[in-house]
Amino acid sequence: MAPRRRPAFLSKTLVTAEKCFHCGDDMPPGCDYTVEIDGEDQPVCCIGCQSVALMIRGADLTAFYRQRTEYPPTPTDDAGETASWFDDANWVSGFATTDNDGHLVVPLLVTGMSCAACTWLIERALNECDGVLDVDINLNLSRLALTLETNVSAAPAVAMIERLGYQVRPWRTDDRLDQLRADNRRDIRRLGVAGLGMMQAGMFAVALHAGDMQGIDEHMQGLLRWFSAPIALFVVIYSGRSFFINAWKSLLQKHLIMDSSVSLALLLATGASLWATVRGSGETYYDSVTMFVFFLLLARFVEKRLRDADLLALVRIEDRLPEFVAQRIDEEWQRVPRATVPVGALVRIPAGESIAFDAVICRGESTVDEAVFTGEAVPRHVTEGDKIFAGTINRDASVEAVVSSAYRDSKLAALQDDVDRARRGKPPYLKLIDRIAGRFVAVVVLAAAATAIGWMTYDPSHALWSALAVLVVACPCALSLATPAALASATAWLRRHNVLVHGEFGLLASADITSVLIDKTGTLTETRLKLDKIALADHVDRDTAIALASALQQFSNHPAAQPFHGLTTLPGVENVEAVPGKGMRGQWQHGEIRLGSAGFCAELCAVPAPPDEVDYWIALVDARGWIAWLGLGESLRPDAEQLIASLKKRGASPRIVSGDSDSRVAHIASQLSIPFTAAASPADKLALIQQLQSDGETVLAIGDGLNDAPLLSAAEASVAVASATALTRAQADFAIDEENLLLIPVLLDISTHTRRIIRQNLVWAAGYNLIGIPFAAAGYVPPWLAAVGMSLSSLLVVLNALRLRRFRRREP
Amino acid sequence: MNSLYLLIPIALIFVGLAAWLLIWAVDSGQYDDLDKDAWRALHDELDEPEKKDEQH
Repeated sequence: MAPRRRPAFLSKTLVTAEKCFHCGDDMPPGCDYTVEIDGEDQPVCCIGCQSVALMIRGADLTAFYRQRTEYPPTPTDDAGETASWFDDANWVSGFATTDNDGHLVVPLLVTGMSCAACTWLIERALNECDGVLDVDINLNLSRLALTLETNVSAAPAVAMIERLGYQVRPWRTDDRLDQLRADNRRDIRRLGVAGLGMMQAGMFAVALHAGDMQGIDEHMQGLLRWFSAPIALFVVIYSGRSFFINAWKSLLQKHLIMDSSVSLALLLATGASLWATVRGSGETYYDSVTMFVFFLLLARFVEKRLRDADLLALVRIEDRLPEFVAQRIDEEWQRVPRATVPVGALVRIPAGESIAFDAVICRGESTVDEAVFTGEAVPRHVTEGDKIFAGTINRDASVEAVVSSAYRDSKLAALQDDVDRARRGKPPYLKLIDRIAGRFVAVVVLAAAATAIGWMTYDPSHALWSALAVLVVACPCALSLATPAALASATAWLRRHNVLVHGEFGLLASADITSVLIDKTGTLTETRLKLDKIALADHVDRDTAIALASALQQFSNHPAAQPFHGLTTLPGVENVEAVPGKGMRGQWQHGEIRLGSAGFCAELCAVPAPPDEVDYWIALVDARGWIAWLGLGESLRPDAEQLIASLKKRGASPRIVSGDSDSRVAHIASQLSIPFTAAASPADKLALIQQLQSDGETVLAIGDGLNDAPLLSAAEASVAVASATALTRAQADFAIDEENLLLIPVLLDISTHTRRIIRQNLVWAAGYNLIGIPFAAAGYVPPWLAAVGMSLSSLLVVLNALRLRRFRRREP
Repeated sequence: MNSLYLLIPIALIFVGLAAWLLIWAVDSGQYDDLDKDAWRALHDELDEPEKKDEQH
């Protein structure tokens, strides 16, 4: 394979020996999986990536690796369950449609498609599946429509997509999405029509302008004008409609916005041109009018596409819950769709599955992972009578529970509501452009009026044309391109460096950040616990205690067991079993040995109190007595200190905001020597940020968990780090795709730089307009010069914005 | 010069036709996914992966 065929971006920065060839994650130490692709042995990080890569090679699809511009998702091991849902034809018919030929079309939400090469890979792989007639993927929406032959199940095709490492959910239509699609089509129609009109009117205009200079037959001039008129009129009415509507609405509210000046210029220029055409004398501005509409629509379209990356926000949290649950009906367990289960029903939740309802346990005990709500890595022990919540994960054992509320009354839905509310209540970052526009419009209108009045007293025949020339010259075309062009450039740069931008206001606001709120768990700290401290009884040494604990923990997948995986184990520990929610027990030389919570171990012998409250302590005891306390703690990410230092250097004051307990947050905060707020619920976090904002601070929020989502939505600018959940990513203005906190200062740098470019653009555009006005007022600017000036100044603004693409990352 | 009296109206018809075609294409969903299709159009290697692979 010729190396030049690989995208430059991948070959330079991403493909290194320490990264997985398939998913781009860091290679775990000691991992030696490889896959031979196109004659070269490539490292892969796990067996999952290896099998996907082998499958891609087996199907002759290795072109995927040469063509991709982003890494595909890391395959998870819980694939497989989803596919079987699609065997239930009744359930599928709830969201599938039928096409004209009577074939079933199954719409799917496929998460993990990161670039267009992924869509190609999936289409190719599905073409090999029996019974698949057509595959239609929309990358923007992560939507895949599968057309199937009659009486064929979608399950094998879904299984195929999952084997490639993508996650599949049924796609349910959403009014907001339909609306977005309709809007998108409307915008493209208007933009395209304006473009075509601009080209044709421009073509006629060249002849007319040349005629102005060289002389032109009067009939010919009349002909060209008469044929330009319908084009310009159509463009103004069809494509330019939205300007008039906006201007009218804001006029009713007694505001002047950019669209006010746009509408005024369009109306007057078109009207005067028509009049000149009918009368056969005077100036026509058909080319300027169409060009003006096209440029403005283009700028808005670019800006809107940035915002549409927000479509992710429409990924509904409800879709993350299991679609099927086991319900007790007529004395037996039946698998039924989640939507049909009423409040009060008895359901069984198997170990390892996410919980679909808010419910009360009536039989069994287990632990639930509630990181979604609390950000807490250590699961909560639950037993009969305890409440469990939709969206959390049942870890250890199967439990039976009574559904206590419908989805819309659940804690998860309440969290989603908080997010929506926070988003609506976000203080609008003042639109730089509209603030300028209001004054600008007033100045231009006054200048045009003054021109008209001036000429009235001097030479009335020039009054109208000179006033019009003022308006056309002052057309704020460059002015309105200034911001979107710069934002689009900065967004493209960030995207190339693994940062996705969802909200353009975030990009503007980041330059003004004075205060930074940072989540602790998973953001500043590693998601995994590590063995932090140890307290020993007199009769054992440290290594023995750890080896003993490892022997008990090696078969457990509890987060508290992870630090022990891969350590040397002590031989002779037998009959190891897990006691859900309590710990592990086994047999050792002196009889029973236990590892776990204080209460569980105290059943065997007396246990002293744990040394402190910072760590998560687990006890190790045997029949003879207490052996050790093992303290598991969080470790800071390696780049956390640098992040804090760099934020402080920029003059932004960082603060940790966490749902975790006081002592643990204090422990981390003291390592970084920054203030903190602990034990904060999502509502507390929201209150804190609103307090800061009312004190005049501009806040940047950084987080990863669902419990941070309201915080991220309320902040002026927000960042979701690599480990963040889909919903959190969707709420944030920026989503970072690699485990690198130092991209945050880079992001603030480029934001400052973007601000500078926008300011230059605005100064230039406004300056050009203000200088042009006196000349136009004096009658020195013919229509062709106005058109050329407008194009050139717009071009300059766009080129200036393109300089952002060459932004260099400053070494921290 | 008289031919212009015919050619200019024809230009207008062409523009009308082009605009109609564009609107039809947009409404039939051909512009719904600008990212994917823009990328696909430029990567013709993917149309015939097997053949190209042999050349490498």
